[in-house]
Amino acid sequence: MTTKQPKDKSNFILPDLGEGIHEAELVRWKVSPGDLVQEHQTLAEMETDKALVEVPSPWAGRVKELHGQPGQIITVGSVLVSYEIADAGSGQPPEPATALETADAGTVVGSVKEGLRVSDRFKRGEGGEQTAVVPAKALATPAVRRIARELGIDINLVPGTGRGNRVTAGDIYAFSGRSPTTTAVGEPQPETAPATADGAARSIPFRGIRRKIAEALDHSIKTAVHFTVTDEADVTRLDQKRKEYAAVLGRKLSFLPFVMTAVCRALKEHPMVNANVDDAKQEILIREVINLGCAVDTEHGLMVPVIFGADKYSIVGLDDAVADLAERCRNRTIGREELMGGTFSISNVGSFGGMFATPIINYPEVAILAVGRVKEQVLVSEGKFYAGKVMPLSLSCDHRVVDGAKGTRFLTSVVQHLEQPETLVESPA
Amino acid sequence: MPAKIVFHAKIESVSILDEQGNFDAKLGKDVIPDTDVVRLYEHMTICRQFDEVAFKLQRSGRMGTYPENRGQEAVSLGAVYALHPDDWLVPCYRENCGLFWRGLPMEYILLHWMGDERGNEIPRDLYMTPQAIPIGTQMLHAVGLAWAGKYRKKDSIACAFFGDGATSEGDCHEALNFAANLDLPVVFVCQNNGWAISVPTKMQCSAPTLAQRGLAYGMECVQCDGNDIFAMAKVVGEAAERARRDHRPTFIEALTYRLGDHTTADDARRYRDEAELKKWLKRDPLIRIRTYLQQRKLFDDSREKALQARAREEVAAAVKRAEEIAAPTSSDMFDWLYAEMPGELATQRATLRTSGLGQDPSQLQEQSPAPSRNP
Repeated sequence: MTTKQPKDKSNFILPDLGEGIHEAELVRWKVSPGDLVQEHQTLAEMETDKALVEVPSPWAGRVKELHGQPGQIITVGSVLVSYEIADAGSGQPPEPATALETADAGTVVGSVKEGLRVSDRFKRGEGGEQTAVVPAKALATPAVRRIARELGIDINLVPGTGRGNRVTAGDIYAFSGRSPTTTAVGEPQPETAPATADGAARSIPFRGIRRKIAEALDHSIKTAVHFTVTDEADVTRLDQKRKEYAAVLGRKLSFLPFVMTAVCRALKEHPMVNANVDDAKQEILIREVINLGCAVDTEHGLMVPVIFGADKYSIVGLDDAVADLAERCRNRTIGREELMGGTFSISNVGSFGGMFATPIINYPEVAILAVGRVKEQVLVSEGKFYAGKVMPLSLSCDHRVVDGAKGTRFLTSVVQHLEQPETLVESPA
Repeated sequence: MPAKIVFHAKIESVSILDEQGNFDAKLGKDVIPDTDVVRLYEHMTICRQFDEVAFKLQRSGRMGTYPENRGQEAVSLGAVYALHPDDWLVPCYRENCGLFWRGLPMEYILLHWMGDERGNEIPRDLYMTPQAIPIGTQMLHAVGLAWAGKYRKKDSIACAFFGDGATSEGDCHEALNFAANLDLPVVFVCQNNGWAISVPTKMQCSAPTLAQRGLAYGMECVQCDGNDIFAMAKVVGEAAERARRDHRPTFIEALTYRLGDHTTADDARRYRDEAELKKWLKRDPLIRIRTYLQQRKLFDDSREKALQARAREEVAAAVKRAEEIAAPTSSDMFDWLYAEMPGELATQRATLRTSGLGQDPSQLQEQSPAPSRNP
């Protein structure tokens, strides 16, 4: 930075002696009060944090006062040396001093002499604004120039209607009177390729819920150490129970509330699976309550509403709660707080046809169960074949919290509860 | 079967006038006529004065920063002397002497370091690009200029100046490869002053010479004494002829030394040995020409005295002209950036003018003259 010095040359302000220097230590003075100094004559030696430098006088004059003692830190911008102000009568500053006196603003145009011609380019118009110049050479992109060339049109004659008077393809066609669908030689242009042609891609930016999903899953998979264990439950008897129940109630009833109940019971037996991790604090939080997340597919993407205290619900109560939450997810009236705070999640992939899965944990939970499609299969019991219903189950756990044995035991417990529907439908104790 | 030798290399180092004043009459024959030696000496003396004054302008707060050229004047001066007036000069920031010889008014360099970009608006008839401050970027510009000249079937060539530090930059290697591979008329002049700021050349190049970097790309290369204006004029003259005649580039390593600091923000005493400085003070290119002229009685002390006075006057006049040019306004940074100002910039420009950060709009009514462009 250049430093502005007082026009009357009364004081020399300490400038930035390097680049970005804020202060300098005065090492020693090279002049004394009363001395007549020349322009560029060294006034003092100063030390910045980068260099030991000699500070020269910016003009000629008589030193009046030195500001500062050797060893003192002087801030850039403060007065270093005061000069006698030369007036017509007393002082007779040496010749070079006049060089700067003519540098007053306002008279500059007149004082610029040989070697420097005032450039028209740098002249400012009224109010300091540039005047618009219409270029002789048309502004246009190479593609547009090519169209003009192919039509045999001098592009410089075409009035431009684009931004900044650029000549557009439309301007060329308008000027030529031709339609853009025929080429210069009159060949028909090929039909525009349909947007859905092979190889065409539709780009969808990560926005809104999709981005939230992406971020949440990305964080989960990069944080939790996933492993998945699978098993099958013989739900032949559960299926019968479910149908009986539905007939008694006079409503449809899916497997899901039964699975949720079985999970609640198993979680009580294996509290380590009903937990959250706090990576910031490096803690595992074993949760007292059971808040079941339930994956819901919506047109906007996956949402996981939470049934708080799920173990306190009856089968029907759970079925109602799931239906209500799913409906409010789909119409986007679900509250933000209802999408958080889960301790375990269930993903009912079977409703879409899948069997096994490797579900991604709904972080900071530590486990998730994917429920596959229930299929009729030939089963074996005590050496005899029978036709039964089988429910595939896939459990993913965060291995940092839940070891393989623990996770498998938990899954086995879920299977056992599902295979004993009589106890499952009993109200919680 | 014994391995065949497929490539032999040798690097020549050219010196014509050494620091003892010995002149190689055979090698130096007709390189620079005596009348021109006098003019070159006078010019170099004025440039030395410019350098010293510019340094002090910075120290007294009249200029932002400044890289001293002291000690390296012969490199650019000898080179520009040997080139045609329409050969492109593509300098960095220690070529003032050559640029002034071409005809650049001194105030342009002063304006640049005072922070006024108008100092970079080089008159077109001088065929030079503004000083490149980023390291090595200008070498590619030189290649582009040479390529354009060749494409347009012009006779002109491009001469790039850069330091030893630039040879460690990727841009340098891209430039060398393009120039050699595309047969472009470029003269690469490496000012090896031994130090890339505080990093010695040895610390950034394991090869015994920087000149041989050109060899790797398949171009002619030569080392020369950069403080010997005769050697500079000779090697650059030959390189220029090769460029013009055969469209072949040349890499020249000019051995020199900066007698001052890297810039005014540097203190070379912190990393350089004083003995090294003393050794190079004796090799000062100015002393060397003066000795040459003295031996041939082409110059004397009275002429020297007059020359010193003239140097002071000319430099003081240039400083006066530079300082009389009204400072750029805060609007200038918007006005000259694009041919058509984008909307956001127009908003910023208006905001700055009314926010108190920029200059008062009434101040903008004052016209500020600028260094000339083409008439």
